[in-house]
Amino acid sequence: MASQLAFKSRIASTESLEKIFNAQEMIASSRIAKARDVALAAKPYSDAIFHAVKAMASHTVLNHPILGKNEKNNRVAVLALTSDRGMAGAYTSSIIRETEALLQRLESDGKHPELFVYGRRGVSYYKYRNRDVAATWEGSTDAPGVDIAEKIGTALYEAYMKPAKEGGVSEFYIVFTEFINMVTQKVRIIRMLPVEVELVDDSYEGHVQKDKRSSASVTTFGHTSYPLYSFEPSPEKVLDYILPKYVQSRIHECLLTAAASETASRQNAMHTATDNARSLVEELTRKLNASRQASITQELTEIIGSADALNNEEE
Amino acid sequence: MAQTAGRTMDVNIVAEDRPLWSGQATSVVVPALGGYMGILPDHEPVLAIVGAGTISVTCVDEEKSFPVEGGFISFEENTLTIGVDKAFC
Repeated sequence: MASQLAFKSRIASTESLEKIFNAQEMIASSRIAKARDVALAAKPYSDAIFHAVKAMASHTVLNHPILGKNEKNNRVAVLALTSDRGMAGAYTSSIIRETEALLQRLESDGKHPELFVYGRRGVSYYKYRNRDVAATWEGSTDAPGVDIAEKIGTALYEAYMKPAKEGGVSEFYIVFTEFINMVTQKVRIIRMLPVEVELVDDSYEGHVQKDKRSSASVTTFGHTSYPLYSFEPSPEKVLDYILPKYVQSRIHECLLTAAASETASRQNAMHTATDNARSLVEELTRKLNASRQASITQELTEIIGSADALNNEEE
Repeated sequence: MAQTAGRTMDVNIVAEDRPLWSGQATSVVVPALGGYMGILPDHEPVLAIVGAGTISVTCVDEEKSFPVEGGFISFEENTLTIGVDKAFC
């Protein structure tokens, strides 16, 4: 059995770790409310732009590269949303796992995926393994603002709009963690580009190849539920403005959901870590008591034994 | 103009990261790409791009103005939605 001193020092260090975990948990839980507020505040804009795209889809004949390119190009872009900091349980590793699976699927379909990574943990993962990464963004996964969404949106939009021989891509997938509730967050893969504009009765089967891979689609109703529209200055100009903004707004939405999920999984991980630290301290205290008891018993036996020996000598 | 007198429309001004203002207005002037564009209640449905300038909102008892760098407006069913790229206020 280890010495009492060893137990004492292990208990002390576990207790100080427990304090750190507990503090991290409290920080995370206070940030969740904030992350949710930020996500809610951005909702009106994304609703407005979604509505505008819907209105455009039902009133004009949409013809824009963003809705589908004619040229044949098997390069595709994949954006993985990981976290900047650790202590979030399996958050980053499950994103990386899903990303790898998606990359393999795409490659087996004969496509050439290009990887874009957001979040320091993901960047260092791929850098350590010397993998080719097209572009990276880091430093703002806790509270993603409009500016980072704009940067990512612009970079990917440019990659998409470039012709195939200049290294353009024909599709763009995003891997992120959806915030379902405080205890459940699910990794999801969405196809962002090309944007699907479809009639509501159309089944989703056509473009959903795997159960987890759904599309960023704009659903419109077949009948004219929208009144006649006028577009200023021209339908093409409006489309040129609205569609990139729509993509950017969708990316921003994903970033915000991912941030909320990151905070929630950090809180869960830290809660479990605090619990584990507590039970470890309990177990170590029990062992410390046992070892103290054992040493007392041993001392008593030694004293009694030696006293007996002395008595025997006198007789 | 007579039939629009006293009528109001719902106006929602939203920036990319948060809602800016919403309320009832009697008229709104936006800096559309082709020049300033006035919107009165019961305007025909329109989707327009907004350039840099100032959005002026006339309510029943006050006037408000919002400087913007760009954005879009959408008017439908007597509701005007203004999506603003960058808000200064």
